[in-house]
Amino acid sequence: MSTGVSEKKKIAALSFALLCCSLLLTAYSARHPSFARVGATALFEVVAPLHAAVDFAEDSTRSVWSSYFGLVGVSKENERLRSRISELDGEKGLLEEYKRENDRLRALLDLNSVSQLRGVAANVIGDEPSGWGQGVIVNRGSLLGVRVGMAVVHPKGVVGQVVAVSPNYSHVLLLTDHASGVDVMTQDSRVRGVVEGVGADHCELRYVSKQTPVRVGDTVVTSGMDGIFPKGLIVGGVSKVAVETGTLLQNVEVAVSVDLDKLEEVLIVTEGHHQPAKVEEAQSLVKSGKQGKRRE
Amino acid sequence: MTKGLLSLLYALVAIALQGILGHLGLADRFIPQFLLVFVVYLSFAEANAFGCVMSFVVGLILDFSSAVLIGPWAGSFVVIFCVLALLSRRLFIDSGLAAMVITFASVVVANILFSVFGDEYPALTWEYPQKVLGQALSTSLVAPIVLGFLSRRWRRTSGAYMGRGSSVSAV
Repeated sequence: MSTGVSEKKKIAALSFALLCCSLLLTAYSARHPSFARVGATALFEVVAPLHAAVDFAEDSTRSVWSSYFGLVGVSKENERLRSRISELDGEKGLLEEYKRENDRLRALLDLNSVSQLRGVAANVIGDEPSGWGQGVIVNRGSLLGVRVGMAVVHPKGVVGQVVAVSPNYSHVLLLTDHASGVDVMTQDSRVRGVVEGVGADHCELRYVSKQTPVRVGDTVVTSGMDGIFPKGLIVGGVSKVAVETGTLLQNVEVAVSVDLDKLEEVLIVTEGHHQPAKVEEAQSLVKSGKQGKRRE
Repeated sequence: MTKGLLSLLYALVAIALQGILGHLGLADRFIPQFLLVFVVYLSFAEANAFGCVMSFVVGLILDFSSAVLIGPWAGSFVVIFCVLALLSRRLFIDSGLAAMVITFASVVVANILFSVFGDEYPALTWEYPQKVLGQALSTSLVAPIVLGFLSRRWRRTSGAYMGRGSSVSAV
């Protein structure tokens, strides 16, 4: 009985010590984002190949599945002709898939040439595992020049930014994550603000004074002032504007232009605008700002 | 040593599985938290210092996967482990239903603790309870299967056998 009691005390004491440890780690990693990336880098190298394998298996299964259905019901009389038709159907489906992939990649290339962005095209191979953070894993890493802090874009607009890199994979923090922030302005009225993620499928445009004219439907583009995202990339459109009494700022909701749930290919901007050193500062400022707000 | 490596292996497979399910199109709110089921298992099968440290490590691995904040999941997993381990002599998770109820409660509490430690939801939205309850439901549904699997594998590897009040062998 006494052994049981002492074991309980030991568990309680150890748990308390580890809890304190985790709180200290949380506080430290909030102020030093690079600390969080150390373990993430190693983790991706282990976990990401599993994602890539499943991605490949999914594509193969889909292909086999469609071929199977193409062959069901083939009669003996028309075996040769029907199988030929099925083959052609399969090829057509495959060609259609290639065409779509080609269109998406061409759109990325167009983005390259029109906006003078230089980058690496990457495939999305996995989601952020906890289900709370908004992030994706892509199959390009430091071996191809990807670095922490680089902007990630899509032909339809801004996707997010690279927060951790391993030799072959990268973790992209999406625009809609809590920790995400982009300096933006409205395209017509040139009102500046910061678009921050709220963990849902939309973002909020913050620090916009009540006096400034922002209307539903306004297009929000990057201002280029954060040193990460090139100027003029579409972020989304204003979907809701709410003015509350007793505050100096207005609440502006922004619908993100890219469908982040259906991302397949993205462009990681490797040359030009990004400045990794500032990203860390910006992230720690966001974190410390949030903590400051809580203390208030 | 073997148990430690086995725990790490479980954690990595679980984390990969969670990421894969999300990529295959399952909504975030319905992705089961396999790692938390493992912590629940540890609190009954390894209600000692080893289990406590492993819960912390498993939580850290999940934190690393977010690449943003390190610590919130580790802290919440340790709390869940501590509470369940201290109650493990009084709780029974012999039946699938009991395992589901305990897992459901653990997921809800762990998510709330995570939000508090990580300052994830400064302003509560309607999506928050939806997400927590969705994850709790999906995790509790898979819990009996995962616990049954872990029970067989763990015992075969470590030789550990759980006493009365902490049995998950019949799940």
